[in-house]
Amino acid sequence: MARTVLISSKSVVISSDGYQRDLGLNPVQNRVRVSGICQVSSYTTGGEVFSPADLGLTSIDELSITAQFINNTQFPTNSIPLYAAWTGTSGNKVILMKDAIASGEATAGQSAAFWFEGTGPSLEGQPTL
Amino acid sequence: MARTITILAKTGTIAEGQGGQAYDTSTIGAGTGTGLTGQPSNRKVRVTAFINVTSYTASGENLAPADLDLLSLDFIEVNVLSVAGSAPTAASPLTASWNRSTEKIIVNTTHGTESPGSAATLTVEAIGESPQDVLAF
Repeated sequence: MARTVLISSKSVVISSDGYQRDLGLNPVQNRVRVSGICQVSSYTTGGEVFSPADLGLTSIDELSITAQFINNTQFPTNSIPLYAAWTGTSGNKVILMKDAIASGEATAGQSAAFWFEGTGPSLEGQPTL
Repeated sequence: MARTITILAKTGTIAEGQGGQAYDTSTIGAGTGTGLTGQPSNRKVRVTAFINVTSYTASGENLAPADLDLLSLDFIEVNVLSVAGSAPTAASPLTASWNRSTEKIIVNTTHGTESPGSAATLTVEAIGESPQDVLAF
């Protein structure tokens, strides 16, 4: 495992009516949206750790991830689509596949990268503009 | 290739504690989530777009950042809604990828299977650098 998280934007989520809730439905005012790229220099079989703290969040409300490349030069093609999945709180790992159907997980030690965009409560508490 | 791209929404991202600024790509320590060190940028926007492809091209349909009115991409997600008029099914799950190297969208009906010549509809969510200053909107 060796990853570098590049956060290129971190923005305050502003609700139209002040309606922000945590998973316990308690009112909160700490939501931020973060996006960027995670670069993996040596992929770990079973998934690369990618936890809320990597995004500057205490937990994740929503996360979208898109595989960018595997093994440095393997970008998605028509015959080899790439696939990325997040295991959620069960391990907080991102699994990268060369083929969503034929179980072609990235090989241990390969380089890889994926885009991410996530929303959740900021590690730093209530954000200020 | 014949595609129509409609930008449905373009919104500025307001950075925390930075008076409306966002940041260029910058390195933070893995696991910390803090310590932004990049150059400040007032041009980060989120774009939602709809793409209507009338005749899909084998090996990918062009989609450059400029097609989304962006100079560069921080994040992109492409979803395919239909191919040849059909929505995803269990037998034919539809997937879409974006190849950063060729700047093409690839649409597959099943693993490694395309439908060149077919119509397709897709949605795109992207965050990136706008040619315009967000604060000037």
